[in-house]
Amino acid sequence: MPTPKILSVDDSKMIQTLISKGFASYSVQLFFASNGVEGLAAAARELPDLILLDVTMPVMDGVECLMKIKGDSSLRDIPVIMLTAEAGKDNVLKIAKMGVRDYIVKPFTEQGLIDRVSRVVDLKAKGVDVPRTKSIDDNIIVMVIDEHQAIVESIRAGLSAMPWKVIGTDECGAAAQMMAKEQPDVVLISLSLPNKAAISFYQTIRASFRSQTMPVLGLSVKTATAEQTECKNAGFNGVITKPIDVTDLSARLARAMDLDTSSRYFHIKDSILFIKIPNGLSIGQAADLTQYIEPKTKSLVESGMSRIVLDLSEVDRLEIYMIKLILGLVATCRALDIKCRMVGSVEFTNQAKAYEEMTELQVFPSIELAVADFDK
Amino acid sequence: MIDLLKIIDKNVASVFLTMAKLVAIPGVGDPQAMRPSMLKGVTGSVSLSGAASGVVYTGFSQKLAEAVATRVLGAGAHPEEVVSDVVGEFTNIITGNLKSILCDEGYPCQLSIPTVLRGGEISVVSNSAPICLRNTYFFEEFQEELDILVFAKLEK
Repeated sequence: MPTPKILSVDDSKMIQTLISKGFASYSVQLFFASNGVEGLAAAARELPDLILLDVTMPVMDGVECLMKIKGDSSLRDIPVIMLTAEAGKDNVLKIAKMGVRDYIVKPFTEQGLIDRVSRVVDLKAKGVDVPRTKSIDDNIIVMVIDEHQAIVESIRAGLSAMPWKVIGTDECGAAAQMMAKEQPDVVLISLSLPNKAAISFYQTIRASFRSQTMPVLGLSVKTATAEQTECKNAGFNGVITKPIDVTDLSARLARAMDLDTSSRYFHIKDSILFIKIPNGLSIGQAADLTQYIEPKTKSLVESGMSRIVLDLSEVDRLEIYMIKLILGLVATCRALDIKCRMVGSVEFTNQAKAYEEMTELQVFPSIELAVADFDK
Repeated sequence: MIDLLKIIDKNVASVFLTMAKLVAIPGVGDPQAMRPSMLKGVTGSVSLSGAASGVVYTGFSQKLAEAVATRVLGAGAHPEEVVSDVVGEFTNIITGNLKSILCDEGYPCQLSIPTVLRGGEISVVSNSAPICLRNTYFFEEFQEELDILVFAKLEK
């Protein structure tokens, strides 16, 4: 998709600077003109995707400029948003009749400007094509809105091992104020707040360009299926049922936020890639880990390394999905000529023997022995 | 009767809070200000013509004008013309918001382009405007004041 072009026609350098600042983090091409005549010339030259048009300007004002735009067959389809301090009823009606898409009343905030413009052109934050810009090791902000302080505290306690910050409140008005000061990375909101406040708040979040992709999860008791269905229909990213299983909470939220979780499993030491499988690896975590195997192993080979240690020493119960994961890794290593050694506890080794596919694989009782075997 | 002083107080508070995140604390206001009135520093003005006619003046001290420009545009030394532009635009927005209310109240009018004057003592007067009101707005953060002076004539 080409970068959208936005033309601002305004005689005020202050407004032009505010527009530049507002769009600084978005992939847009900005053009400026300081009166209607210059604006028409710039519009004909650039054929922008949107024109932001001031009303009171020297040489040719915004109303005359708009009339000329609408009278020009090559320009009339370009959406125009009027940017004006004059929002009297008659003025708004007059402008609306002339076919403007919207109007922004001065004074305006940068965020208000972005929100309005994003309704007309498809704005993309700079660098949005780069996947997973955040990792689980980043300072993630989790907002919890729940009428019960105990829920906020249980989530805070459940995430205490993460370098994340949990901010909590019991009502949406306070949450909106907190969001204005500090943009969370994910929102958890109780679906049992009065007057369906969770749905309204969700819609408010989605209406803002800044937060339209922010994951929002509902909090609900397991038996409240009606409110869960309603929230899913509204578009929530998911529901976490109460009582909250805090053991899997960080993984659940990491998936919702699409965080890079690879540091949880992978690290390189002495030119060896270590893959650590935690005890109690869930199906979701296994799927998460599996998707990193191919890029990590390729990257290993590209950087001139060729040794992997799969550390299962903490695993005391072998599940089928873990076997799939292990066999997938072994196959990838064979395809890329990577030497792979596996480390496991006695319990793991005994359980592995029960699976025919695993019998050929050697399991070392310690990392030291596995590493030493590379040189044999 | 339309309360121009109240409208101006509200507009000034809204414009400074939204554009500069500054709290403007209004004084008691003087609905019958002296004629001529004196302003100093960086003074913006926008004229109204039509059923509501007159002039709105904004009197910034040099320090306040520079501080507001920095707050709106970001840190750094801003040249005189940029500071003047900020003063002009603030005056335009305050007067534009006033115009909107006047139009809704049955006083259709037009605005002029803002002009900005600089000087140690600027004397302003309008003998044909029966309304002459003035208020001062205090910015605690900068310990500076803004003067707003309105000459107006309302004819339905």
